[in-house]
Amino acid sequence: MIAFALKRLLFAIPVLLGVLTLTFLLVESAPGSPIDLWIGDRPVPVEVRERIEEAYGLDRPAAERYLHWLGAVTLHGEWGWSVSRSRPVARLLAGALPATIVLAAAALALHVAAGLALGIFCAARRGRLADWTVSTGGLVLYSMPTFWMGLMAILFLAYKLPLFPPSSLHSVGAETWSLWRRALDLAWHLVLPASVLGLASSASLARLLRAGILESLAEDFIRAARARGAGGVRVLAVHALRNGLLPSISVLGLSIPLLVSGSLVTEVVFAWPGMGRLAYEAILAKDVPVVLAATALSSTLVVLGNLAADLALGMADPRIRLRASGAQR
Amino acid sequence: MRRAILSRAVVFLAALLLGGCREGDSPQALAREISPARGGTAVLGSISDVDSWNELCSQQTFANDLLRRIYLRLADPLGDSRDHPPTFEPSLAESWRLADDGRSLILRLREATWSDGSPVTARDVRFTWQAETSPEVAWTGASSKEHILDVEALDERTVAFHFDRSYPDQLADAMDGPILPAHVFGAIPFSEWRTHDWSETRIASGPFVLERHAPGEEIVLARNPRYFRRDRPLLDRLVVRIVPDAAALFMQLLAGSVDYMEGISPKDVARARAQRGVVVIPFDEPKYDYIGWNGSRKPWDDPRVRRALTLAIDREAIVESLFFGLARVSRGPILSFWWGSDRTLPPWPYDPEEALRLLGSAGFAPGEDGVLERDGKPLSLELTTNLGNRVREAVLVKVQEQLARIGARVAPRPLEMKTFRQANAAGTYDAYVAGWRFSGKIDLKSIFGSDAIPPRGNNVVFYRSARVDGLLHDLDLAPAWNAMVPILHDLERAIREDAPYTFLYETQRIAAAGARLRGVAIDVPSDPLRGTLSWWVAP
Repeated sequence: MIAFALKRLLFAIPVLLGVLTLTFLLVESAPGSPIDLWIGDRPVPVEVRERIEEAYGLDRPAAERYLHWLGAVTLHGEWGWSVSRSRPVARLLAGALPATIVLAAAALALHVAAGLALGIFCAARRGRLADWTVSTGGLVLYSMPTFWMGLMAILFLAYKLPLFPPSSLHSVGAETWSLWRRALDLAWHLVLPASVLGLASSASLARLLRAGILESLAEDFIRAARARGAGGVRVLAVHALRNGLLPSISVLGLSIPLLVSGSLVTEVVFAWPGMGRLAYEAILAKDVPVVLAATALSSTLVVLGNLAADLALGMADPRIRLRASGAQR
Repeated sequence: MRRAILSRAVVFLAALLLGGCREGDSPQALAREISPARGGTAVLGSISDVDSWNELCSQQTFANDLLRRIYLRLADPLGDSRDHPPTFEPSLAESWRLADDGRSLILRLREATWSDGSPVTARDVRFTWQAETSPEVAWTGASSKEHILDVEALDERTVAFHFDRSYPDQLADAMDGPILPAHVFGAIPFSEWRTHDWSETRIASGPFVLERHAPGEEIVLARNPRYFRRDRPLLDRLVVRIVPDAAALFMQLLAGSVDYMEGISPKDVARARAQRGVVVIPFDEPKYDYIGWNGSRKPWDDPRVRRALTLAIDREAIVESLFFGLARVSRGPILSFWWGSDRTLPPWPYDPEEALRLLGSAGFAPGEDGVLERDGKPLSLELTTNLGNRVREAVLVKVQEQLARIGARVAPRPLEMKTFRQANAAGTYDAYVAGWRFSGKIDLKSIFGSDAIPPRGNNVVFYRSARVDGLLHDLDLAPAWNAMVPILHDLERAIREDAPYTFLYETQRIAAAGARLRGVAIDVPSDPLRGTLSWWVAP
């Protein structure tokens, strides 16, 4: 298994380089300069504009800038300078990543918990009104745009009925509070964004799980378990669930990087200072080093997410043997 | 009885003056809050973060407004520039005088200290001027220092600005820009200023000092106990919450989790006003939007055609539909609320008949399809703007509709910013919608002077007028501001007649304060957060 994991990680290096090069080419080929966006409507003399470009190295050819950036990252671990935020990119990432991880972890926990509960519930009540209601409700939630759900959550649960804070990581002045009180405050601030991010998408997991369980229930080993005297709950929760989980595990593995990098809309609406928002604002400002760093991080997570899904599958299903050549059933 | 009524009326009026006018509050409630309370935290909401904590490297309006609370200027312009150049209120400089030859301005600094206890000295003033004029720093406001030959520290608290000549804007030019601490900022070479992280530099001469900045999340400014005005600010802290989504930020203002915000959309004003305790404060922005006609291309090189198209655009309707009346039709190159503007000069009216007459005199006549044409060529144009500016994109569509009524064909085309700028500088366009934001002075030379035609300047409409060039030259040589006024009026008339631009509208920025925040007033539109000194929060 270790050899398998190492080989997968080794293969990831050219993939990451390819993704970064493609991202750079895409951002670079889009028209626009961060300096033009930054200057806006002010009448700034041409020579001043040129000096600013020179100060940030934007007067150099694109290929030279890319190779310089790549060399600095790989040889010195330097991620470059953010023109739009006047800070080293590494500091921006160090600030944004924990916020995203916290939000993603909370959203993922809600996503899994709600997805599992609803999936099992619907499978147990297949074809009944409860199944139909939950499935339809889940689909309606899933099909709603995240920004709209976010704004509605703020409108009803923060403004009309002020139960939760509408934005940010913590309350004003929380930095002086005790650790315990700050943790509670963080949890309170997490409720709305994590729910919007995690609960809405749990409908897809629930449907996948429901289908998996129902498929398993028709298998011979379930009939055998029932013949051995296993009760309905045991059959569902132990035998059918374990087998029905397999497709969901693969999807979950892939959804981890999506939760980390794809929480862009949620982060913008709830003013959550995470990676998605950082990347979004960097793209708008054409801040290439930030876009590249965010892409590198996101791509690494996709690779690791895939690997984690494969390893988890191996653990969940003893029939799957992981070999150095890849996963084989 | 009468006395009781009178005393209640006095209390009510005093409460209105001190606490700001609030809808829905009873006189009794206001009377209870008549004394501004010290301490507390006000929460500002902003859709944008601070781009740099060094004002010379920052370009954002909001960042500059915040930085002015940290790094003081020598003196601050007041909001009285309607009838004369702004008067200046002493800040780090307590007094100043012009030398007899008129070419040196001598300032006396007050006894002020930086937040680390070091005194503010003449060396700081000289150092700041060196930074402002350094090509390596590339400060975008450096043109205000172009006539300053040297800044001399005469002693610890006396400094002299030496100019190449005497002119009316000497004081404004000297006062422009913050004063930076030489003993802290001087440790970083100018060549590294643009790639230095200034967020770790915690020093101030102003009422607040930066305490914390979590990018994209929150900025905390704490009261500077060494600020020279011991009685100000009233607040202990100013917290800025960065909420990138304007709709979410507005909702937070209504919910009371944000006390103050700027940039409220005109369509939301009625909703904000309906909210109990929320005070809406519109104020003039030093900017206008316009249509620039490419004077290097036919038929836009003909002033009659440009003027005709101006007359055919119903700008009142545009202001009403896009700004709900919270803007005004622009009448010329000088902002209507600035002292140099000729207020007797009306904006060009909406007059499609006169437009058709002018176009007829320029040789245009309706073709078979109703489109105006000259020598077989239809009167059609591509109208560009910078992509993503929703208001300007809406203007393109309105102008398209309105010009279609007189038989001119318009193709709206939003372009990405760099492409837009490149097309303008190269002159490969017909007409574009853009705007100018001014800070401090009215600089018509860099926009309308023939010397400013690309690549040297911002005259991207390729406007050439010997008369305007002459007036701009006279303006440069005017010995005093009142001698500038008739020249500015003549300039305004000349540019209006030639119509290199169709001046569209001057907008208002809309701020609002929540129920908790008191003492909010914006008396200097170019510095809306100046009033934070007197802000206080209701207990």
